[in-house]
Amino acid sequence: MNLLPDSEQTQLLDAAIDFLRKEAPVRGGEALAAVRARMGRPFWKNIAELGWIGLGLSEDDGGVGYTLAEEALFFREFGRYLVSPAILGAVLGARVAAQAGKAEIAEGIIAGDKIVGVAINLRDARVDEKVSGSYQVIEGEGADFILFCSEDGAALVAASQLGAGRDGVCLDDRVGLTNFALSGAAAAACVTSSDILRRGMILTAAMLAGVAEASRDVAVEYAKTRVQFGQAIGGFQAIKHRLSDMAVRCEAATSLVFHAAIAVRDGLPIAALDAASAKAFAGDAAMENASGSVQVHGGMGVTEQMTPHLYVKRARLLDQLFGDHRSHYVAALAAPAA
Amino acid sequence: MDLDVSKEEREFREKVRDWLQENKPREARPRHSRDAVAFDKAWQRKLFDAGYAGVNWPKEFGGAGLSTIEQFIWHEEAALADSPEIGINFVGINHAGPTLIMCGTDEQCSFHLPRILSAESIWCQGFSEPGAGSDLASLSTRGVIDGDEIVVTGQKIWTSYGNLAKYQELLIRTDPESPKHAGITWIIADMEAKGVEARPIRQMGGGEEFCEVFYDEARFPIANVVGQINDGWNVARATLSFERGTAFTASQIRLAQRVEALIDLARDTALPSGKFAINDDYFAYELGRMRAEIRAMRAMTLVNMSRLLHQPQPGPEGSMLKLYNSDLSQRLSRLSMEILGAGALDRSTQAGEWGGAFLGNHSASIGGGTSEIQRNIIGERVLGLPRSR
Repeated sequence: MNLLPDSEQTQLLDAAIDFLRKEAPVRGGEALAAVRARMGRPFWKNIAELGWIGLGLSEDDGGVGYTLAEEALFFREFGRYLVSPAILGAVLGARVAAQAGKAEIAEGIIAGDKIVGVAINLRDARVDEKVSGSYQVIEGEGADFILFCSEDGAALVAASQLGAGRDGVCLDDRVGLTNFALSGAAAAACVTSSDILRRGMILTAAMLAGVAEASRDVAVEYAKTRVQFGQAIGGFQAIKHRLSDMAVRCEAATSLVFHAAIAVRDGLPIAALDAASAKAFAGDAAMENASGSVQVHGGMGVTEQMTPHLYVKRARLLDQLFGDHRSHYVAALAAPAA
Repeated sequence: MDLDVSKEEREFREKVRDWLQENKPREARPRHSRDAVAFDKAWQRKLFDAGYAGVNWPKEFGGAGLSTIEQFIWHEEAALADSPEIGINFVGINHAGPTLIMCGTDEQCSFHLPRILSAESIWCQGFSEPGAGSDLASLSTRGVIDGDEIVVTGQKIWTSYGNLAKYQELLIRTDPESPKHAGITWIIADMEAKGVEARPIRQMGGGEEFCEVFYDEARFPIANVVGQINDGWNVARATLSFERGTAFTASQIRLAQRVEALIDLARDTALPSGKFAINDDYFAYELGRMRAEIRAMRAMTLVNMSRLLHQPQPGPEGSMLKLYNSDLSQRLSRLSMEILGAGALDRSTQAGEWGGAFLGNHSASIGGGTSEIQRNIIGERVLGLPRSR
């Protein structure tokens, strides 16, 4: 038993973190156009070449052959570095295509040539060979496919099949949001199991854990340098105790995400409870820590110059993907107990 | 990253499970403290005879000489089997024993460790004082060296089973001139020595295991000092970190069982509206959240375990587990009070036991270092924030 990354995993991860630090630094006050340009198709092509999109797919399916546990480690970093949620669309979409026997689509996604947006279910979601219902599509603009997902299955629909949507403005202004009402849009690839949803919950929970940790880290850093009343504010218990609570939330969320990833990967009986628990709890932790980080930053925290607001927005967005914390807490009550 | 178990671990677990089913006491622990002591001692003795006391303690001192993982499995299975809690043996097994293994002399270890494991000697703690609670290092119970003895005068408080224990892990000030952390010594005190007197204190939940202990020129041999004279603060830090180590496994499992019991209770408890509590949206959300957080604490325990496999002494991360555990258990108690409503008021009923547990549970965030102190430890030693108050 070992719930922490081993040396091979740590090595793999360190290389990824180096890349993200250089190519995707989180900066406050950066113009949206600059962010979107940085995170555009060339970035996607880069991370595809590093093998990140096919990381957890078998080599037969054109992937690298690692497991959900390694994917979760990577997605925690994607959360921390605010990588676009389209990474969820790509990684899960490639799996849908591979499982559905659409090797060509899978190849295009794994190679970073095809971009996949991801849908949030609003009402009456029906996902099989035809997709119906109301959705918010995240990062749909300029995407090649959109990933739809429900309890019953998951589908990739070509963006051209969706017709005209109504563009919204996402609370997380780094990503695009479009509203669609679909009635029977044809899927380019589809699978009928809850496997994709389960994986989506784990990977999104991992991103949320990353957001929770990043929020803690920027708040701790600020508290060490910001001086008031003649001392660094992190020495005051009012601040210190808030930061300690943030640290406990991170420890709990990250541990739970790791445990859930292994449980789902290994098909343990506890997988359903752990996946629901992880998605709900990591969402809670990210939202609490992000808003707490704004508070620690004081007046500067509510400006766009600093980074805390980025995590507040991202936490709220990710909480809505693959079921929000409220629905998953209730699901945890219904799941088979340990 | 894996949750795999080796063949040996699986076999050990099965062996322990079978043994517990066969041997755990059928009767409940008596409520009266002296009967409870006899009960706890008999159970510990049984464990010792079967080789399950001190699973990861060295063989030469009466332990089983197995790994931290096997110790962890033992705690898990004991809690799952609903076998007796450690009770009166807590300080000996979870504090004094591990401290002696790490800092004690060979003589101290070979005399005390087997006696702790067999429950021949019961230990108590002598850390807090009326004037030194959270600010433990300001303790003022004096220890004056006189030849090959130390003469102790002062007062300790919150000493569980102080009136029933044979030995005490006692912190005394041996150098009043040094800065407060530097002049403290950790010594083994004989509770039957002349000049030592323990008086019980009654708690809000009705329990009486706490004592005040008074020392009036009580004499203990210098050979009883554990670690170096005036280095007791470091020894005490080790002692407290053990409390936050694998011993939490059992309380985490018991807490998980209480959450399931509360869910069952919510199925059977009708609210004033006539609706069962489990069907109420608010309670369904809160109970689901409890269950999710129990899973989080379970995972934290395993992460802590994974760390312990690479380091002999638990680090400050243990404070996160302690803080989370006490917070969760108190939220659980409060939720049970909300679900039961007026039903929790009548302590003569079965539902009223939740009320008693709610009262007793207030100590969870105070004993073993308050939650505020845990937050200081996390802030300063995990996050690296500046010290100051």
